[in-house]
Amino acid sequence: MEIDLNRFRAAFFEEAGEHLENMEGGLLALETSGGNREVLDTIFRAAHSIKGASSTFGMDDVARFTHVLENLLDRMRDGEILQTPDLCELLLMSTDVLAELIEAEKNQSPPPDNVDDVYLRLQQHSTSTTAVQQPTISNAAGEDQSDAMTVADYVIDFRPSRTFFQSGLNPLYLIEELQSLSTKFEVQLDTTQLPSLSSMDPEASYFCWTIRLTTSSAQSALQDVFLFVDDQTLATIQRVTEQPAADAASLLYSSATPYSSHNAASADTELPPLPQAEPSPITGTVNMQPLLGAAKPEALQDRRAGSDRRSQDLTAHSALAAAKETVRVDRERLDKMINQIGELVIGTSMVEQDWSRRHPDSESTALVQLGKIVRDLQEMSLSLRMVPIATTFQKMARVIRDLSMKLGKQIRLETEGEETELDKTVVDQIGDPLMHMVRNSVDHGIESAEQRAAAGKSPEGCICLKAYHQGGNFIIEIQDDGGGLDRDRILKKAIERGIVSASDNLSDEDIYGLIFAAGFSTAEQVTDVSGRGVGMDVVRRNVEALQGSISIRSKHGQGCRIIVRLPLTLAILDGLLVRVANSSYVIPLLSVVESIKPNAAQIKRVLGKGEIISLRGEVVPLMRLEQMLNASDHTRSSEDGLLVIVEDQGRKYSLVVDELLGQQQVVIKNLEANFQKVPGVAGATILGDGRVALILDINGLHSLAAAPFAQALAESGINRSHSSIDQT
Amino acid sequence: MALVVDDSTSMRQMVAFTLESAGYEIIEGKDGQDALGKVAGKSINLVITDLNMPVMDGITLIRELRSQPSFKFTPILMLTTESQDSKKQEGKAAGATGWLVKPFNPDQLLGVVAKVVH
Repeated sequence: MEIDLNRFRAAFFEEAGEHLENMEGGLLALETSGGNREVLDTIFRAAHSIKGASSTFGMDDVARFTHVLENLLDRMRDGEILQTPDLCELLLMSTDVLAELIEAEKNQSPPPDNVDDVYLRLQQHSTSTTAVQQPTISNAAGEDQSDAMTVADYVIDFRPSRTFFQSGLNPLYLIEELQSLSTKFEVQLDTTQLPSLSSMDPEASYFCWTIRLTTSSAQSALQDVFLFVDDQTLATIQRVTEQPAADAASLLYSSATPYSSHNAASADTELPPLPQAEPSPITGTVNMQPLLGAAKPEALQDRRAGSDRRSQDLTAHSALAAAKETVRVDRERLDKMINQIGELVIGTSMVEQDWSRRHPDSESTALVQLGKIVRDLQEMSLSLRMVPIATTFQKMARVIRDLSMKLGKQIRLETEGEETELDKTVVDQIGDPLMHMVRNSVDHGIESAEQRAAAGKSPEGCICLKAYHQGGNFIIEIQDDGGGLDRDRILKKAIERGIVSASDNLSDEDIYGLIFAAGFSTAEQVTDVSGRGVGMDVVRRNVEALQGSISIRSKHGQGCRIIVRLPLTLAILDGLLVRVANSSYVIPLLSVVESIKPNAAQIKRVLGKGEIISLRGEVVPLMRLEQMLNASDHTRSSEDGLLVIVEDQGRKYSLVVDELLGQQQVVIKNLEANFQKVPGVAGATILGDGRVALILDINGLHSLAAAPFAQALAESGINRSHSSIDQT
Repeated sequence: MALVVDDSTSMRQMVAFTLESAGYEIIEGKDGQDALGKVAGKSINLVITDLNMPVMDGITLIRELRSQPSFKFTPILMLTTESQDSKKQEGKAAGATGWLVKPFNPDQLLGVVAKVVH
């Protein structure tokens, strides 16, 4: 039967990822808080799981590596090997190597270079490993030395113990199995042990059998039939040779291997206690211990006691482990469902609007109820995609640890709010930007111990990661108590690079914001860690691609604080609905600063740069949405209309609109998926009246304003028949 | 109907799929406790369980099952690794019928199942 195991590989890789995370987390905890039985158990179990599954699916390299790692962990949790900092370092490295091995398996790419090296080191640490060095047991019976694949006769004495049924075995199955191996088969039933009906226990086994058979199978195959019988059961397999039958006292021939230990069950036989069956692998090794050798019950008991203690520990640990039930769901299905619920929300809004149009003065309680249920449903569905930020923080912990050790700095990490949740997509994408900022803190922010001591600070620096919800947003703060940003140096570099000019009037905050500009870096040396100047602008772009914002505060000598603001979900948006001519548009509320009704005097025209407005002394460029979006064909006078002041990437703009329609939470529909990417537009939504409203992308609009609209359109390949707009 | 218990989803899926191809209807459990909850009132012909699981491990599950009248004589197979020899004894003492050593392939699984169920 051909069952392809590849279909389960995907599940394995996902599982393995989780196990590796648990291992890393456990090892980090082990390092900081010392040897803890529960933590060691968690780490061990994770490695054990990976080993079992990887070997089952034929990933031998992974299995072999995990095997030696597992041994080491096993001996550590038994207390046989003591935990040392070196050992922890090795284990962490091994986890990395294991992750790479699994990744190589997944991508069918070559394994990492240091596998053998780390493997040897792991082996060295876990010296004698008795249980491991046994030959691999396969389920097929091992070879018997006296194996002959020739036809032979056997006599089998099968005496199940009284409690035979209690292990779920059926003696008839065994007999049938023997028959299936035989060419000639004869069974004799012995019912002498059966008591009277009144004293019989229906759940006990009383029958015995003597079986004579002829087979071409090896003796080991016959032995294999009795693989699972308990210690009390007697099954003696005798090969019938020319030698006369043995006397009752020694049923044990050299070619026979008994599967029983002491025969306490049948007290009326004269058989001597047979040697204790050692739990050796089923390789059919001949057990040549003296017939009258005493059984060794103590050894078995010790083993049992040991494993009892082990299972007690395991049970205790698992009871402590959070019994959080989860269900694995296909991401695509979840997204489809959330999308559909979004449609439901839109549909409900439409019904609500329709109602108020037809019945302007009355309210429908049923509709109100429905609306509430639907909105609750939407909130619930969005929360399905929420995961805690804890895993990301753990990754940071690892980065900080490795990097600070490499640079020889002492840095402590504090986290707050790691259980705070946000959308999984956001979590996945915020990891790299956060990593970069944390590396900056470690590399450039926190000073060396000596520098800190000289400045009167404690030699150990601190990086604090905080996560919390605030006003419908998810906030991450990265704060360090290092040297802070050097305002003057930043300004100097910015002027050098032409990012700003010396005459620009910039506040401190503006200057700090300059580090987000492309191509900027004040690091004296571009280290391989950071400082290449491509970092912070990419960070900001990534954050803003997630509809978030980032700001930075610093105090020279005291430290630096970066605040990242992210939406809780990417599926809905808090927006400001505005009317421009006959169309409605949505401006992301996160970008909106304020809205004003300007007077003509505030609006000025600057040669070569377009219109601007003077806002409390600040110069803010003006964008006439009507023209930019080709909403209507006639220009309007400057006095009519409102200005919505928005902010993007630290710059302010003002948008000319006709009317503010209100604040609304809208369901974001992806324009690219349904139409194509349009510059200046971030997406679309369907309003309660059924009409489509475009969601504006401020950054895109700004780029549009810099180039003629028609030109930008032509570049994006959209076909338009209208002539270009009036551009000043 | 067969009960398959393993905290590793990939292993569980593989065993379940293999048994399904042999005509079994499968109930899956991710640990002993989960399994016990799911089999209440059901008629089970075969149990395959891993040993190393959180919340309730395999040995405890075997013990619990054997204490229930409807599971007194049900074939129960343990999934073990070769370095866990002591577990086999422990499992047997708890009432397990037999074992399967990891790694195993679907054919081996069906072979051992055939020994204990007809």
